[in-house]
Amino acid sequence: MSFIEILSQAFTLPFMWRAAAVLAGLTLAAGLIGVFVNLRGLEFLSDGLTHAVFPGVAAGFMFAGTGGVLYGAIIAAALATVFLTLLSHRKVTSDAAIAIMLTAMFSIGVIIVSRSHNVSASLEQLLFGHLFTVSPTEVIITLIVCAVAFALILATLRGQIFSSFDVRGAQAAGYRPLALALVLNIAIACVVVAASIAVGNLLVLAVIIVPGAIARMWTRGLRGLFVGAVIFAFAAATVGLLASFTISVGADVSVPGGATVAMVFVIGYLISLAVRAIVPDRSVRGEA
Amino acid sequence: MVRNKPYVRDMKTNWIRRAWMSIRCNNKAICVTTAVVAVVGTVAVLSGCSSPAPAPEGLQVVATTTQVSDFTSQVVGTAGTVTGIIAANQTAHSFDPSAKVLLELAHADALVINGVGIEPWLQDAIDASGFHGAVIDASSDIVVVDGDPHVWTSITNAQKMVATIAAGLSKVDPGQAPTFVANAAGYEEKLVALDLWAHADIDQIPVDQRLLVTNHDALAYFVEEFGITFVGSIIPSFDDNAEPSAAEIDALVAKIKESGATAVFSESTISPKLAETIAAEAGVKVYSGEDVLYADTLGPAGSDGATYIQATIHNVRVLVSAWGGTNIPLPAELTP
Amino acid sequence: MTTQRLLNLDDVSFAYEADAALSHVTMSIDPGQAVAIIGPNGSGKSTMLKGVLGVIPLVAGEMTVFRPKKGRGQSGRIGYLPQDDDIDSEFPITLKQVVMMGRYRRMGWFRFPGADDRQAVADALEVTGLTSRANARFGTLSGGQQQRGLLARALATKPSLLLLDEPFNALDQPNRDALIETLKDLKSNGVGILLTTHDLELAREVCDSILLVNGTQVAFGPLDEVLTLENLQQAFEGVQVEVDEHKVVIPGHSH
Repeated sequence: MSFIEILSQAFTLPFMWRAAAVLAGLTLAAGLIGVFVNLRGLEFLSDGLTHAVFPGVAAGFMFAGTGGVLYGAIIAAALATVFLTLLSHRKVTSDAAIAIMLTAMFSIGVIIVSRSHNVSASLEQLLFGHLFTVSPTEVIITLIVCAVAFALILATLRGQIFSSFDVRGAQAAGYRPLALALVLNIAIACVVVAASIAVGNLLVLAVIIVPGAIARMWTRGLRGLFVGAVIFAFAAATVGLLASFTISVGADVSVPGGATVAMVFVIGYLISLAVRAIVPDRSVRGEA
Repeated sequence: MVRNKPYVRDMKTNWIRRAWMSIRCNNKAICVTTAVVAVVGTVAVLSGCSSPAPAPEGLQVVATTTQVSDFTSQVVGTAGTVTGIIAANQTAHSFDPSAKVLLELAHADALVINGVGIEPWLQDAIDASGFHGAVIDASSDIVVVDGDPHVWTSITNAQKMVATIAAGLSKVDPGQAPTFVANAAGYEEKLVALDLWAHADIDQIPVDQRLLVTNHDALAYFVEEFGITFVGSIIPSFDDNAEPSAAEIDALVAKIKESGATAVFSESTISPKLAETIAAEAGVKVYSGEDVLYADTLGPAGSDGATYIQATIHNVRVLVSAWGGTNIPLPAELTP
Repeated sequence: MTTQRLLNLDDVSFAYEADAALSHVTMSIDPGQAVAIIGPNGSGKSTMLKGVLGVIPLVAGEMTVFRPKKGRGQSGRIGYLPQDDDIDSEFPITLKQVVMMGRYRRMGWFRFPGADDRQAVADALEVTGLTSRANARFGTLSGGQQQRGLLARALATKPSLLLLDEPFNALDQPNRDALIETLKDLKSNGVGILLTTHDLELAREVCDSILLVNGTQVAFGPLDEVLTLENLQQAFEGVQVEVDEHKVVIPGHSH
């Protein structure tokens, strides 16, 4: 089949549209939230939340079978978020706190898994994503979760920007940095859960971190950041989805959908890095 | 700092700016929400309505496990196209279907499965692909013991599975039913010959010396059919993905020593390391590498276990040699 | 312009983490009045400003701060210039956008910046002499320019009460003069000013009243009443002080 034929066939199949819907929701949310992860250096925190989801999945499966996996993930993510946000405002170094929580939650998850012998299939789905076999229910839940994350950040956008730039100034202006941090962390947790479904728990970070990092390379001020990140995320996900389909069908090489999408994100970052190294950065100067 | 003149806007750009401002909405929430809803809504709506692509010509059959795929190929012969989903040396217990697999499912007229819960990922794959053909459960006629899905390991069961597959396909494509029945009959004859030979080969070993330790509990039906004593498995379950605890390993080593077994048999889908460790601890030999057993899957094309019959012959030969016997020659029908 | 008293403190103490950082403050600010907080290092000058903002908790006494009006009201904000900044110089934000932050509270959650927001930003930039650098990344500005930028942010808020922590520090002479002029302008428009400074000369130029502190209030009142040798010795204990009729010189604290 020629390339065009393959492509045109792609969107006659229900699983491609579901994958596209999940990715659309995910990239919108991840693009927006990823900018703040980048600005505030929350990459490790996002990693911590990603690992924290794991025991929720294991527990969810044990109590409610495959249907319970998603809800277990959401609950675990919520608990970890609150715990981390509170801890990071005490005197405990936030990296230490994250590392402790991350390893503790993950070990709990491994113990739960070892007690049950048939959770491995659901676990693999969570770790590596199941982009092509998302059920309609999962699509809806994912879209809702992403919409919540998106709305939370959009509503508090100004406060988030202020607080990210100048915490004391924001506090002085009447914003509440702790509340804003909690909202942001909840939004990150939502994206983690949604991304675990699409690209898998292990590759969530790619989706969260890369778009914000790329947008930042190319803007001088705030204006292009959010739109740039979202546009890149959406485009990269689309390319990844279509590439996965085309390679799988055309070249008969079995490529998992989620990992291909993550790969495109990373390749996009490397390209951006290379171009940035060549093209001079005018953003540093800049008169009116 | 010198106090400048008051900020004067450039008159030329002023009217452009005002025009732009007048069409731009003043409320960010509404703008962004509209845009987002438009994009996501389009995607969601279009995902609901999609018609399947035109199917290729002829009978398209998809089969799950390698064994079931082998049986189906034998039954179908040249009367259609059979595609196996699971590759050789890949586990059947968990599986992430690629776009290609889903596409094949979408076009398939029939799907032949092993059943008995060995394919928990199957329903998701069926839903995702929009498969609208017939599902043929090869184990529908089999007596399942303890929920163990590895039913094909018993040759008698294999014969029943072949018959079920032929019956199922005959319903899907009645025009070619005679071909299916004929092919099935021919294959079943070979299976009968296989069964006789295997019994003869194994029967030379005294019953109390037929001791089996494997990687996971995959050969229960085989063990039952051939009067073998199953000492234990490293992973004490049907699922090949768990890890034994220290206590479980100790218990197994003790059982091995107690039973007088002289070998631990590794499987083609699982890393032999654990088997080697336990064998060393128990002071027995490990059979891996070329002598590995084909339990969960058949081997790749060109290997010793590429078909069900070849794999079974291989397994029996390895076991009998390990137990100290000499393998008897194959009958004519089974010689490749 | 409202004649409501902007700030009133009655035997107030602010504390942070169980230590009383500043105690027994009794003072007030009316519209158009400027108060300078003076004291040695660590005496609680910054604490006073942060306490008024509510960033450092009040543990004793009564404080009344006028209520800022929400929404698009013209009056009723507090502008704040911090002393030092933990500001990330790599942050992708232009000077103009930093100044626009001062308008955020007015804009609320959903509004795009309007014409009056842009005008306020432009005015603030002009007053601080930064119009030519408006589109530069904030982190590329010099220390002094950054401080002026943050001052512009405070001014863009169109405050009724302006809190400035060591505003003259990073400024050179011409900029200092300009700032003094700006503050005088604001005063004549009814804005209340509370600033901390080491520089008595500058305080004298702008302010009518002095709040003298050293962990606790030493004195509050009109300039000449407060700046007596006795008060200064109490505040700056152990430090040599010279007083003549034009200015008070404290070794190490004049510029």
